[in-house]
Amino acid sequence: MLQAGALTAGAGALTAALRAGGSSASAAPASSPRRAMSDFHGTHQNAALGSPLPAAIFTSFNLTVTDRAGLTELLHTLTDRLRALTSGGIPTPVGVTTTDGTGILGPDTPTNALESILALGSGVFTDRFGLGAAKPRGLRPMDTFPNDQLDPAWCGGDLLLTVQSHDRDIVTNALREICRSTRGAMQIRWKQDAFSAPPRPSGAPRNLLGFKDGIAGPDTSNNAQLSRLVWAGAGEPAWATGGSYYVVRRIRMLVEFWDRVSTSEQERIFGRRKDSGAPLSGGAETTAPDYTNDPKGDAIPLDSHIRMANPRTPQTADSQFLRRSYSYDAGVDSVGNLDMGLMFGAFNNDLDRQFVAVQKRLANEPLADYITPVGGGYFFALPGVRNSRDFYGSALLA
Amino acid sequence: MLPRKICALAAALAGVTTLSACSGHGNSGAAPQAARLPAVQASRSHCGEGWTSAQAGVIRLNVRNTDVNAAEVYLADTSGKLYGEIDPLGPNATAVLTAQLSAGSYHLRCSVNDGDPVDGPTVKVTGTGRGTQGVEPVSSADLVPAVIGYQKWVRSRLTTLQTQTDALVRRLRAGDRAAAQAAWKTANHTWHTMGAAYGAFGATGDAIDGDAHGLALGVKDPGWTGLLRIEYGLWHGESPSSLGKLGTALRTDLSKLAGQLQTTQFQPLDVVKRAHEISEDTLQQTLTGNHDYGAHVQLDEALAELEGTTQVLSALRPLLAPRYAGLTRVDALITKSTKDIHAQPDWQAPASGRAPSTGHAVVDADIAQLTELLAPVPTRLEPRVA
Ligand code: HEM
Repeated sequence: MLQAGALTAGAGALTAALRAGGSSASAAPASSPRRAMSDFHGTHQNAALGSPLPAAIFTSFNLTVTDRAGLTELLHTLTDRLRALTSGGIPTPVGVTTTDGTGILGPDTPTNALESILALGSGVFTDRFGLGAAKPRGLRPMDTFPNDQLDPAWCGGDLLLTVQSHDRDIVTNALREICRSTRGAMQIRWKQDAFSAPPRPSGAPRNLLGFKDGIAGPDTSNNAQLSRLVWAGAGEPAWATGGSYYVVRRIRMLVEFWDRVSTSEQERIFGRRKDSGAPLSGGAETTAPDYTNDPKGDAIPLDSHIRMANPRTPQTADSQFLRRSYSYDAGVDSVGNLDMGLMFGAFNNDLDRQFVAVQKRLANEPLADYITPVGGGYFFALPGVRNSRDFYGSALLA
Repeated sequence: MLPRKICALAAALAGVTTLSACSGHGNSGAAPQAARLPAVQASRSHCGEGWTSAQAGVIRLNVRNTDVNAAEVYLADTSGKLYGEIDPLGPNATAVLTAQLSAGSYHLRCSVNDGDPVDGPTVKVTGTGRGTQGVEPVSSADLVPAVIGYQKWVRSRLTTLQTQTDALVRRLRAGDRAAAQAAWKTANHTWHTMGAAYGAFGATGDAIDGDAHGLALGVKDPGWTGLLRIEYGLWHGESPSSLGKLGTALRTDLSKLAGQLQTTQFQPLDVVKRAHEISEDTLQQTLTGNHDYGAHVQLDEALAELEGTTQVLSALRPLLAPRYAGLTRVDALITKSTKDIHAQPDWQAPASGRAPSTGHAVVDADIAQLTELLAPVPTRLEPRVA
């Protein structure tokens, strides 16, 4: 079956199982076992597939290296450091040669506690690196969509690093060590700490609007779906096979406003029940919404978020993509409202056929009154580091 | 030799931009419990007792000071190079000494109460594991010529600055804003070559270049004096002649500093630390615009600070060059930074919360990388009784 995610109970169960660390899909308690961490090495950056973890940091960098040798060296360093940070263990004693690592993970650091996703922005694919012709077909600076209020300081960047873990100190340590070893080669452009809540009480984690988020989507255990909807391939430069268009959007939620809206209106806005996550057409969280018997939107409004995003028609089936979003909480604005929202993440086989098409369908949806996209970018998650001798971008720079 | 394969790889590829002396991670599996580490003594009479053998790779010793005085404990090879240290270790205290050793002969060195160090028994380390690079220790006495040479240079800069300040005071008195601003810039540049970072010149230094951040009344605080106060006045419409008094006070404070530099010698450890602290200051105070009170001369200050770092390094070079291969990368980066700064058309510190301009990011990256490359200077040259 080509249809993904919540269309089949089986796929939903698999998604839930991945979230709950392989245990039963139903009613995972808040203290459910930690899900398994993906391997650092592989054809793909496997971390893209894993469900969101409690702690993440999205960091966008500007490259300050100016030539191909510098870029190659940077990608080697990033590979070496992320590989070492992922495997953990006792940091190599430096004797008196230099200063030690951060130490925030103690003398013996956790093993396989970190996942990372490394992606490049379109600015890298220029002649200064001899990469003008190597650009993934659709990669470009992020488009501005009708409901956006983009702040340039929160947009773009040459390199995006997402690190995620069960524990906040692991990602903080990773970012500090990464920055430390790449100081002269890249500079942070923007950075957002993010988190994913535990299941309340079960299933997908809730976002800051109180709705379960991350229910529907491709089945990450189905390779046919992944190669159609997530990993890049046909039509791309050969080196890019196995990578993925990675869209990140920093979307502010107007939470004070939202909390003054009735639950039934909120549910009509999304098309799902707030308590259970079930589609308004009935069933449970993992039940597929049923639009076939609801042409006028009596059960699930035609302009609800899920129905506009995915009308579940044969024509729109290949616009689905893998969502991997986090919540963020970033302080207070000038009128005393909280600045919090969603670090929306999406992995796509084809940027325009998927994310861009869906975002255009969502233009002026009722939800738009309660959210404001303020930043983000289009990136290309590199193919995976295959083994201990490989490095990020080896095919690109070959 | 760099610590581990991954570091060696990074080093092989390292140019100016990435730090190669990285701390990698050993795939050591579970850490041995402190209880199961060799229990080793540190004292004048039993230094190193309890450590008898080791496999090459990461070594951890549970060292206890069994003397009645505080000790510094080092792990050294037969040539005296150091691979690890605990400094200090109080009487009766215990701490873990961690090092990474390749095959060879090593021993513990115990320096109790800063007395002559005592060597423990030789331990043969066997196996094929890789080791960290050892560093030949430096004593306070070794550093004296560098300290004297550097201090002499600072004194000569101060003499220049005093002359420049006289000119500044004259122009303030004359009420000529443009001329006073120019004279201020000249004096300010000289001051920024002098390595005044991190309280290097104590309270006198604060009187000379203190900022308004910690003052109760901020920029309006009557207790605020010095170069930054004069800058604020000159670029915020205060009449130059009204700033004359501040110019005179500056002159007095500089004389006071000159007196101090005649009578007190810099501490060797301070000079060693200054090698990286000056560029730390460039990052934190200069490039951020934190110390910009109107003149917008951050780039000029950054250049002056690079000059200051260069001077510290040239004083330390005879000791540093044989101990730090990265020094050539430091030199190259100072050259590159200088070039990159000269290439900036104009300068705007980013507004708080804003991303810096492209040119700003390039200079920020240069100086940030420089601080990383200079961090090993104090760890290698810190004066030790070893
Ligand atoms: C703050 C902004 C957003 C919020 C709060 C939000 C929330 C939600 C929620 C609660 C669901 C239903 C549960 C689920 O299936 O995961 C959902 C589904 C979905 N959202 Fe969003 N979303 C946001 C932005 C976006 C954006 C920017 C896009 C794409 C351009 C998008 C695309 C989708 C898609 C494709 C689905 C699944 C629809 C389906 O297959 O049934 N969302 N979203």
